[in-house]
Amino acid sequence: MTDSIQGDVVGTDAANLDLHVDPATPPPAQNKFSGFARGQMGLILSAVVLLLIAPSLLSEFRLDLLAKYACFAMIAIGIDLAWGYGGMLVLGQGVFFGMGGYVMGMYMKLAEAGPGNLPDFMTWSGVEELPLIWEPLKYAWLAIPLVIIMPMLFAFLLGSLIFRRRVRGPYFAILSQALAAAFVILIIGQQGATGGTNGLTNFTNFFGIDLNDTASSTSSLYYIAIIALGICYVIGRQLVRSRFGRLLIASRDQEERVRFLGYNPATIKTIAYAVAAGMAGLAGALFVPIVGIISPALMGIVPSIEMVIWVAIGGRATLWGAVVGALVVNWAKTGLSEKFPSFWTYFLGLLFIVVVAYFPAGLAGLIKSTIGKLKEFTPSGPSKAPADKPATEGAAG
Amino acid sequence: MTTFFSQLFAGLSTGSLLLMIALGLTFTFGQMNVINMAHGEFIMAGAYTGYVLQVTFGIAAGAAFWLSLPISFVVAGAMGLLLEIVLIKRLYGRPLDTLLVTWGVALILQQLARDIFGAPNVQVVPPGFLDGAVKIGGVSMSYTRLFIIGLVLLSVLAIWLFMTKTVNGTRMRAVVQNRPLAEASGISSPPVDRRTFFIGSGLAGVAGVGISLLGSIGPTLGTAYIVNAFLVVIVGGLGSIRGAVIAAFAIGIFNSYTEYLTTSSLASVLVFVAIIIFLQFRPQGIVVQRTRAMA
Amino acid sequence: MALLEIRNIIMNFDGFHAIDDLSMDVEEGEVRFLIGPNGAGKTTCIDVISGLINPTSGTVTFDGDRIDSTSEFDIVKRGIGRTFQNPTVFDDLTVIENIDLAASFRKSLFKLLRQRKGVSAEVQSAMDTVGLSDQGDRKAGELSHGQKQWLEIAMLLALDPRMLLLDEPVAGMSKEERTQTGDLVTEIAKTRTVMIVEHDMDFVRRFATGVTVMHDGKILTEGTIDEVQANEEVQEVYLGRSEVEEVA
Repeated sequence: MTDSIQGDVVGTDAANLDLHVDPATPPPAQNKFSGFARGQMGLILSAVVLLLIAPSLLSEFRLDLLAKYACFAMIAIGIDLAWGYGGMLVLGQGVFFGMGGYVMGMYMKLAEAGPGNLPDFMTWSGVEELPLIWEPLKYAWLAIPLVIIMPMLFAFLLGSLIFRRRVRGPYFAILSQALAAAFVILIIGQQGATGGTNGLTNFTNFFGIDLNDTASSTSSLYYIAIIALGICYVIGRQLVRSRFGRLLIASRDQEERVRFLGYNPATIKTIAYAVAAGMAGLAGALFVPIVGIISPALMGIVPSIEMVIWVAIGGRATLWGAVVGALVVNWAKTGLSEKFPSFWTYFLGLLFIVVVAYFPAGLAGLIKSTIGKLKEFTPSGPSKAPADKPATEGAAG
Repeated sequence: MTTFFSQLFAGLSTGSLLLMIALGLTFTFGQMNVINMAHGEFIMAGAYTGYVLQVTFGIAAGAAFWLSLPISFVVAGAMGLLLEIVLIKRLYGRPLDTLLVTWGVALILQQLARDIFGAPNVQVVPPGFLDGAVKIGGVSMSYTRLFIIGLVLLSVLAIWLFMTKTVNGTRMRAVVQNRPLAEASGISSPPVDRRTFFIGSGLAGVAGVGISLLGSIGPTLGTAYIVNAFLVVIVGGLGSIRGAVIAAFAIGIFNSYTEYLTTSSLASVLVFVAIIIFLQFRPQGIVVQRTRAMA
Repeated sequence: MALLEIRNIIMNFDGFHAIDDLSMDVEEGEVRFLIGPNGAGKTTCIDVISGLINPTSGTVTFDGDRIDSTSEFDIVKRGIGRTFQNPTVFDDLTVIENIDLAASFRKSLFKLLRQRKGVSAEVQSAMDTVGLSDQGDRKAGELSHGQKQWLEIAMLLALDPRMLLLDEPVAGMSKEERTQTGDLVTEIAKTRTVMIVEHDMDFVRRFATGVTVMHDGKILTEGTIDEVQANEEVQEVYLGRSEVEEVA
């Protein structure tokens, strides 16, 4: 989205600048930061400021929700990379979210129980010895990287097996969904090791943050979540803008051609998938202290596909769109689903249908085209028209 | 040895249900490149059709059960037809989007079921003649499961005859194998698509009646089956009845044995792993319709 | 030893022999035209060389190395680039980005994670060669059919291959565009080996040096355009039908 043909759509002030451009400055077509890019920077900066001062504006309850939504937004950035840019419809991101969540939850449970003791739920279900998979999670230095590395490794392995054999499109989507189904059944089945359907809950301490003292923990956790979201965004942005990002788009649109340019698209896609998994894992790890639970119900088929709708509504193939989508949909869900649960489901179903079928560019697309239209009516509009014109003709012909 | 055969029987009965559900999917996927996530809800609709008939005519009436088979076919088929006409037709060429849109439809249908029939599961009482089991060499085979296997075999046979012996069936196969060529040779594909959707969805409805014989039914009944049915499509190969038959029974039986040897939760993971390994060797499924590579 | 040696290739699609025991040599620096009626196996031949499909039997050797079961991207790395009948470019990327991706394929993954800075010399030169310099910032999807074909050739040039396989490079082009493409191919052929599948006999007559005629998956004859045109068999199977072909 950095190129200026499309980019100049946003920001009437930028368009005005272009009109009075003096001959010495480079022509707009060469100016990578003109127009939309500049407008985007402005939007992002104001969003960052808002997010930073949020703790002084919002109640503890709202802030806690916002922190939770920030976790969801991290998942959305990952999904956008994989699906929006890479064309891989990931219907099982809940699995990676869950991996991060369980790794973090297990670590916290062990830390709270103290050395040599078993987590509370295990004693309830009669487990006497610590299951082997819990062993490494006694150590913070292992657990912290694992929340990201484990989902990434898993996605990397699965992705390379699937993409290497050129299984793609709907096939991949279904396999990713089947993964979610299988993983959830596995977690539920291993009651003693995972807490079964109930999942892991009753957390009291997150690296020294007392989770019972919500007055202080909420804002600390909020800042951690926001910083993590910022990191995910920056990573996503770098990936998208780099040649790798162009290759990802290329692999989405013409995988064959990518191969005949000397690249292996399987590698490109696998990396994007793994990065998406890592972001979901990080989100899961932070979700645990913020919300206080990780359970199979949060990662199955249904929640996983809901994650995709955040991106669809926000606007695929724009990172900020994905973030906005995750925030808006979850905000609406919190507001509506508790009061009118039945209505919310119908509404969500309709959103799926209407947005995907009729507004595939999502909110981001709507915003862009609206601003684009506004600009046509501003006095500076005509100066841009000649540049845009061949574009429409080319598309039509 | 007894265990071996009773697990085989369990696998056959699971596999036959999977097959019935997967047939509709493999047609629509193969023919229109459409992933219909609402297919599971057609199963649910079929099951509830049986339930409604039973509530209306009373449990004693065996006629209600026999009626439910064709009626659920028509009800689910009509829903599929409607979906095709209203939404899917507009989304041809966008398979991933179709998947998401039909998921939205699935959500709405589930909630409708919840609002009409209530969230708790309801019970369809199997007709009296299906009580009991037959015992052969220590292997107990319930009449319900035998009935389901028989029902599926009959349906598959009917579909196969339709596809190979009738003009409309031949048209369907032609469109599955090469849509542009079929269109160029004078087959109007929209009616064929509608027919495919009707039949495929109808089969899901009948499968729903079969499932209702095995236990209680609820609004999310379809979700449990749809994922495995899609796996059958992937393993079987696009649009191939033969592939679907082999894949459905292979998955059903594999699942049944691994479930017996390990646990049911581990079995679902092992099935998934087995499929990933299988795809390493046959990424396009058991039956590959090989055409000249089109760049 | 020829640059490209094809020996006894059979390509079998479910019993149909798209290529039936084909052997051919292409020398370094040659411009080889591959002609023949529809279904003769010309594109299949290119598909086999470029690795899109693996032959049922037979061998393909490029610069002394077997490439008949090598993956497409490794074949590109060895120096063979191809175009497609329908120009295949990345519609959502700009012309520069399209060519830049082609020019970057030898870069390490780590370098690919960086942003492109400006337009590199090889991208600029490829753009200049095909005459798309003034279109650099346009999305490829906005280009005309002919421009897309040129863009694809520019991407090929950015790969810096030793051999180019062009599949009907002038299909759907206007007369003027055909001439430009012909000049372009002549220019490219000065430094590289080129193999062209073409239907347009006019184009073949004007620009061909060596011609191979295929029919029913086999080689009917090889030679200069005059020799080929004089061949009675060729006239029978192909030239008599050339007008029909061109309309199609």
